Amino acid sequence: MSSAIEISNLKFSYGQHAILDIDELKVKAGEIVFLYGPSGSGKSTLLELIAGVLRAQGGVLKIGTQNLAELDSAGLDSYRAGNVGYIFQSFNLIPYLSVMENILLPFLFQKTQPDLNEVKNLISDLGLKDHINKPVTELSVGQQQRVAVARALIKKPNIILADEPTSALDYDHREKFLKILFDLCRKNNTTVLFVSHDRSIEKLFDRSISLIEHNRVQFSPTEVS
Amino acid sequence: MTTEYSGKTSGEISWLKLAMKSLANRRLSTLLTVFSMTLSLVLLMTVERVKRAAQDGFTQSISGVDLVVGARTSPLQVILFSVFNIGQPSQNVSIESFNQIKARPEVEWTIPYSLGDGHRGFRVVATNSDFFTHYNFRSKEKIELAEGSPFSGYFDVVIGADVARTLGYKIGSPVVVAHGVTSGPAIQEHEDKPFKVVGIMKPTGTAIDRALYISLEGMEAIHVDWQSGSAPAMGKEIKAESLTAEMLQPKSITSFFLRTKNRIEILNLQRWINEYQEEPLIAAIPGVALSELWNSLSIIDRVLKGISFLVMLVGLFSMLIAIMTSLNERRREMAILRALGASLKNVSGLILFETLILTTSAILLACLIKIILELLLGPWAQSNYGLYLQGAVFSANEIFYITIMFFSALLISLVPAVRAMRSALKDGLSLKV
Repeated sequence: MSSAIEISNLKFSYGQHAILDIDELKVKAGEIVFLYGPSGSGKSTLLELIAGVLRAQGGVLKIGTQNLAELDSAGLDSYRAGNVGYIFQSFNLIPYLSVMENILLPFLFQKTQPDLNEVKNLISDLGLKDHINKPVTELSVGQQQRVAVARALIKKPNIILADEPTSALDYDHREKFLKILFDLCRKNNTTVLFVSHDRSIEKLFDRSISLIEHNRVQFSPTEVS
Repeated sequence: MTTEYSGKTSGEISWLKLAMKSLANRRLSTLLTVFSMTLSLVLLMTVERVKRAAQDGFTQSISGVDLVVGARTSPLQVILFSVFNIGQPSQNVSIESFNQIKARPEVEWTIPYSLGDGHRGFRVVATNSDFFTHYNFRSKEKIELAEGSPFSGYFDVVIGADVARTLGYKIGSPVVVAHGVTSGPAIQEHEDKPFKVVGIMKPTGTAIDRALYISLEGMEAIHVDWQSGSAPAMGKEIKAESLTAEMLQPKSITSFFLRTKNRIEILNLQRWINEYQEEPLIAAIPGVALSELWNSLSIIDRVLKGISFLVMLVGLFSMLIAIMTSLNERRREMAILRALGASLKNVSGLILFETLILTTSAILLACLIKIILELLLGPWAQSNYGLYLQGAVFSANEIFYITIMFFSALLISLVPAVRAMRSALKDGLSLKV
C-alpha cells in the first residue's frame, strides 16, 4: 500500500532551538493514526510542517508522491488548499460567517466549484442540516467542531490533520465525534493524523505513534515553546 | 424531500463577502472610520466649491469694462455696489459730469447705472439701452433675452432670470418698485406708478440674474413728485399720464461703466477722472480692485483648506488605528484562513481590500453628500450670498482631493497589511488563544 506521509531524517528548529529530528515515520494512505506526546513535544510543529505552513531545515517530507521541500511558498499554499484538511483544537470557525459560509470557505483558495449534492450529503451526515444558515456563534461546541470537520472534508483532501479537536468535548461527545469523523474519512480513504496528549481515546484509532519515541530531540518539559 | 438549503445560494463565499462581513462584524469602528473620512472629504470639497463659486462670481460678473466710475469712495466700494449689489452708494454722479466724461475722445462706450430701489428683495437698476448692447460677463458673453424685448416705454421693465423664476413673472406681469430698498421688505412703494414686464433675460449665472432693469427715465418718473427722498404729500402727486419727456430727463446717476478705445489710455483717463474738478469722483479698475479683494479672501480660503486637510489626516489615522487594533483580535481568523490554504499575500491582501472598501465607500458617500448638499443648498447660497454653483460638479481640484484621499488610504493601509502578514507568519496554525 502506498504511503500518505513519508518522513525521513526530518529536522526542524526555531533558530538555535531544535524542535524535531525524526529518523523515520510513515503513514499509509487511508490509515487513521493517533500521534501522542506531551504538550511542547513538537506535535503541533509536525502538523504545521505537514500542512506546509512551516518548512523543514533538512530531511525528506513526502505527502503522497510530493516532496514538500521542492515546493516554493505559493506551491505550498496551493498544496495545502488542495490536499490538507485542518481541524483546530477549538475556535475553528470565522465567527461572522454563517455555518454554510464557513464550510465553503476553502473554495476561496482554489478555483474549483463546490458540488452541491456532495455538500448536502456531507452536511446531513454530520447532522448539521438544520443549522446551515445560522451564525456559527449560535452553535454548541460540539456542533462547531462538526462544522470544522465538514470544512476540512469538503474538498476531499488526502490528509486530515487534527490538533486535539476533542479536548473541548466531554467523553461521550468525544467518542461520537470521532466515530463520525472516522466513518467519513474511511468512506473517502482519507488519511487522518490526529494529535493529542489524551491517550484515553487511543483505542479508537488504527495505530498510535509516540512522538517522543520518534523524535531524537530530547524532550524537556520546561522548554515549552 | 426538499431540504432547507436546496438551491439556496446564501452560502456562497467570495473575498468581497468575507471582507464585507468582517467589516460589518466591526460595525461601530467601520462606521466611525467611514464617517470621519467622509466628513473630511465633504469639508474639503465644500470649501473648494464655495471658493470656486466666489471666484467665478467675482471674475465672471463683469468683463470688458475698463473703469467703474462713481462718487468718491473707495475703489472696491464702487465696484461692490455697482456690480454685486453689496453696500450702498453715498453720493450720486451728476448727469453733466457723466456726459462730459462720456464725450471724451478716449471713451468707446459707457453704461450708466442708477441704483437705490428694489422689488421684493431684488434690486432695480435703471440704465439705458447701452446696457443691452455693451454689457459683457464671463468672457465676452452678451446679455440675451429669453423672451420679449428691451425696455422702450417709461414703465417697461426687463427682469433677470432668477427674478422671473423666483417670483414667477411672465411678460406683462405688473411690478411695483419699492423705494430705497434693494433687499428685504419694502417700507414705501411706488404703487402709483406700476411697471410692466416686457422682457426676461436668459440666465447668466452672475449677479445680473438677480435684478430688474428699467430705463433712467422710468427711475426719474417714479421719483418725479418726491421731495428730498420722501413721498409726495396728498394732492401733490403727479399722475403717470401727465408726465412729459422734459420732466423725466435724468439729473444724476449712481455710477457708470466705461470702456476705452485703447487700453493704453486707461491709466491716464483714470487719473483725469480722479482729479476731476467739478465734483469728487473715483474711477476704479475692476480687475485690480477685485484681485485685491480676492487676495484678502484667499487667506480665509487657505485657513479653511488647512483645517480640511487636518480633518482628512484625522480621518486617515482613525482608519489606521481602527485596523491596527482589530489585527490582534483577528490573529485566530488569519490562522484559520492560512490553514485553509491562504497565502501570506492573501492575508495582507484581505486587509488592503478592506481598506479599499472603507475608502471607496467614504469617497462615494462624500460625493453623494456633496451632490445632495449642492442641490439643497445651491438655491439658498445663490439667493443669500450670490454664490452661483456653476460649471462642472467636480473640478480638477476636487478630483485631486479624492485621489489624494484614495492613495494615502491605500498607502497607510500597507502598515497593517504588512503587520498582519508578519504576525500570520509568526503565528502559523498553532496560535494559542
